[in-house]
Amino acid sequence: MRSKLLALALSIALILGAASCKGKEPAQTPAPAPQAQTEKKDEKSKGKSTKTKDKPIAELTDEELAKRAESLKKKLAALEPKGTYIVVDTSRNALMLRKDSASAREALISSGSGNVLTSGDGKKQWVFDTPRGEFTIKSKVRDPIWIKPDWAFIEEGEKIPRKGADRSEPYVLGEYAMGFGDGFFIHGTLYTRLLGYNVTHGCIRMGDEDLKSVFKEAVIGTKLYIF
Amino acid sequence: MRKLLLIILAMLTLCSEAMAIDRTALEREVALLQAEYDLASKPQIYMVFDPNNLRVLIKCRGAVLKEIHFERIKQWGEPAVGVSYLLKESIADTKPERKQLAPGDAADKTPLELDFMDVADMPDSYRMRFDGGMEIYVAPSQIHADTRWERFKRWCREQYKRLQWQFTDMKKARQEGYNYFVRTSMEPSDARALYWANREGTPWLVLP
Repeated sequence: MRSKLLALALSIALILGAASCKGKEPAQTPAPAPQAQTEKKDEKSKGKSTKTKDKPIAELTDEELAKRAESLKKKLAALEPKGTYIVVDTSRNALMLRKDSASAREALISSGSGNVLTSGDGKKQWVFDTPRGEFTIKSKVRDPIWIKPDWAFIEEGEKIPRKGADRSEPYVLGEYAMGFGDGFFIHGTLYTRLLGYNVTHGCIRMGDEDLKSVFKEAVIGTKLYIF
Repeated sequence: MRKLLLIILAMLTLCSEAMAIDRTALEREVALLQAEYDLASKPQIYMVFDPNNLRVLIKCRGAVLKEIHFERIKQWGEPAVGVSYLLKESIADTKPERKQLAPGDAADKTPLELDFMDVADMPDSYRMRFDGGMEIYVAPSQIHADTRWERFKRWCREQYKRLQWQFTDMKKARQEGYNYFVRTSMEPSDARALYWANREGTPWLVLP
């Protein structure tokens, strides 16, 4: 009799335990994903087979959830920059050369002034900001020559020359330059006393020794993160 | 025998509770990882706000570029897990303004004479409002001023602003659909750096 009672109690307890596991709503379920993503997922789930990665989080089993977490961790780690990359903190005017996340060198720089120049006729406007986000070193030049853009003449109140040759100015960019797109460069400067200030037209200026070192370490394709 | 039954029952209940907690934690982790993966997939700077550890991480492609620390944080409401909040606006008493240059302004002038906008021009006391219903109030943990009187005036002003935010602005914001509020205080230089790093549209992810 006792053993029967025990077996009955155990089975009730097991059923109750399982039910409480299934029925228990999480205290705080994750908020739904943004609308666009949900729609995409819905479209996908209309297909014949419902893959695990298309399933909403709430419908995944514990095992599937754990697998998705692992897969996302791997995917996120794969996005992280590897090897040598450059980080620029425009608030401190500092450039960090990193190798596999460890800081290899830190240098003082000058970055964009944030000033706005408007042309005489008011038709054109230039904002002298250093762009922010992820960039790639696209070119490396020794003894670069500055081809002065229109704003450089307008700012000085000079006439914009017709001949291309009248725009070139050697020596002002230092010994090395690294282009990262849209006419922006990391380059040297004659005004080393201005390092640490936001005085440029968007480019990143560095001192000679630091520039030489970064130029040596960076290759075409090196990632550059500016914030 | 009864004791044994009670022990088994208690163990089963505890086990089921633990499993439910694990499940919730796992769901949150997946939602957060998915949200961060979505942000890191784009070539953009994003913030990961970790109120429990009093810090915000400036990140890109999953890599931490900088860590900014808070001294104190107080929260009202709960953040949405796995949703990125987009910075809609920053509200400050005095907003930094860009200097407007006219043709010829740079002639015969050094860049320092021309003036420029840098982190020192940023405010150290401001509110950040986000699409998605989050608002963060940033106040300086110390007040620097030239004289004691100036410091006292600024302190009074900060206290008034804080109370106004807590009792008036927060109420208004709730009516507008805001549901998660954070009041922080931090080193003035960190507050300025945070303002500098955040532009309209910067995405923020909040760790619960």
